[in-house]
Amino acid sequence: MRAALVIARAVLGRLLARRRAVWLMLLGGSPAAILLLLSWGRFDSEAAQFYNDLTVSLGIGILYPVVALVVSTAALGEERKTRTLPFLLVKPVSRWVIALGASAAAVLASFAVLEAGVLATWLVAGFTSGDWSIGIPTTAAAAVQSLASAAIFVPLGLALNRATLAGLGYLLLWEGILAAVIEGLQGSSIYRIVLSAWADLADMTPDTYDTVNAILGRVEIGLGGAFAKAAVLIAVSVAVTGLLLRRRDLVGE
Amino acid sequence: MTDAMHVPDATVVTADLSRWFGQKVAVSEMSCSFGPGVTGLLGPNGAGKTTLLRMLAGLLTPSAGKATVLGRTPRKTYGIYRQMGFVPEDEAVYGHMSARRFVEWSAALSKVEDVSAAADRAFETVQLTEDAHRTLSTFSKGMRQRTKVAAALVHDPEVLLLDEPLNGADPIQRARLIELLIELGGEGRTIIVSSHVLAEVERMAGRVVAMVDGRAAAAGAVASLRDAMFDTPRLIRIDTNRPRPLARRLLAGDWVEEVRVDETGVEIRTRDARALGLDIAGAARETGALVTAVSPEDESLDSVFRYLMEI
Repeated sequence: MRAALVIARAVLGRLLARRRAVWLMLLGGSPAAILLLLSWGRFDSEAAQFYNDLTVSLGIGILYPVVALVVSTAALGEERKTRTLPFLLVKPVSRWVIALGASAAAVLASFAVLEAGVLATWLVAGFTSGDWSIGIPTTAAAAVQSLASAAIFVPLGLALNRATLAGLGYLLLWEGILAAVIEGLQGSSIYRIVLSAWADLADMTPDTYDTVNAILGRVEIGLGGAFAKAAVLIAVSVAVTGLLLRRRDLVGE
Repeated sequence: MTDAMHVPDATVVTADLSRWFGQKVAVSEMSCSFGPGVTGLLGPNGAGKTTLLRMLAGLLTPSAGKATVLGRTPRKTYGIYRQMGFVPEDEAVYGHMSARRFVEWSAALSKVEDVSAAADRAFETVQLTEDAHRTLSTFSKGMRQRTKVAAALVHDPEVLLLDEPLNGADPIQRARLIELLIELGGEGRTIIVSSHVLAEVERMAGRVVAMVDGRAAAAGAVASLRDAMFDTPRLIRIDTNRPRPLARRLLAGDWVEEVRVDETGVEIRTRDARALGLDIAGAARETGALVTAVSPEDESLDSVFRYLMEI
């Protein structure tokens, strides 16, 4: 486990050291600016409503998955692109340990980047609504998002050159269209898993509740279930990533 | 094993090792062995050196055949990396890390007990102690190479594979690296270092394995390979304003095998390039020819390796 921690620390340092991490934090925190504009001068429950609607539609719907996608695909994808992967692979460490370390780093980095935006929005929402617990469900959603996105996109980043583009295609097609149309796919939709975690803790108006339920479809609201699904996904992902690392050939010339 | 491709005290062995990428054969039925000391893996770009080293390092699966390091197959046994270090050709490093952190990170992953002391020793070996605190992105290419060598050495490996480690290093750094590799080889480690520069390999390696088109073309001491090369005819071009009289005069030398004349010069195939070189000035004076250039037409590494192929 020591090796996994050493790897996680190095990958985490690289993921958070880049300018990209700052841009992603700003992107994740953009709802804070929107919320500030929308609820300027209002100090009532409507501000909380704005916050919830914005979180469901823009945050969990678009920004959080995109931010987590970019971070997660970079965890091993960047090792491959910058040709630093041999430094990892010529160590007396099992490929699954490398996969575990990289996945842990992706989860932590995604959560750190997402949570920076969540905190900024939380601050604005708390100030305008007077409810300082309003950001707790979003923090839980960011945690589930980080786990589930790392599970899908860490191996994708290792396997594909244009993993971010492929990931965006996945988000649009699978999450945005197919899972909305085909009920059978809703259980495997990360968007819905994350939303179910958020909905379990959020203080929603009946309208927001109806909207969330309509999006969730077959997926039950529940924080524990969401974390359990994300945990299963990450376990499978570590196994797949380890297998990819075992089979991967690193061509030099 | 007594042939030149094999050594008696082998630590790294390849047996019919091949690797192809689609239609392209990068390494073809390579059977050779490497032992303690510095062995130069010599060959022009595209000869298959990097592919061979990556197979030895376990980063590439052979298409056929087998490679073993200290009796084990790296691709299947991760434990072998405690006794093996690899310095890849790529300039890539973790730019955000300090050199010290990178080397300590390598030590920690290699399960070294005292990470800090091991890093100190490695930096001392590559003479980078004073700059170890600096971020790798601020290093010159040569300093990065030395850091990579430090990272590969930090766990005190028996076998060290280095892919073109002198690339990008300035002359002083090259000299230091060459000295270092000679020293490491002298300690009884197996050092396999690839290069496409014959002169560099000659300075550091007691033994050379020459690769051409993915095959082991020749192996042995550098001197014996060089002797073989000198016995091979050379093609020399002389640019002059009076090619015909000069060619006629030079034909008098019994070292000339063949002469071709065109409007701007003479091409001479000779068995003794040194003797020809000594004769050119006199011949030019005698014939009143103005010689503007003398250049070996086939002195490129490609042709040198073609010679080696024929040995």
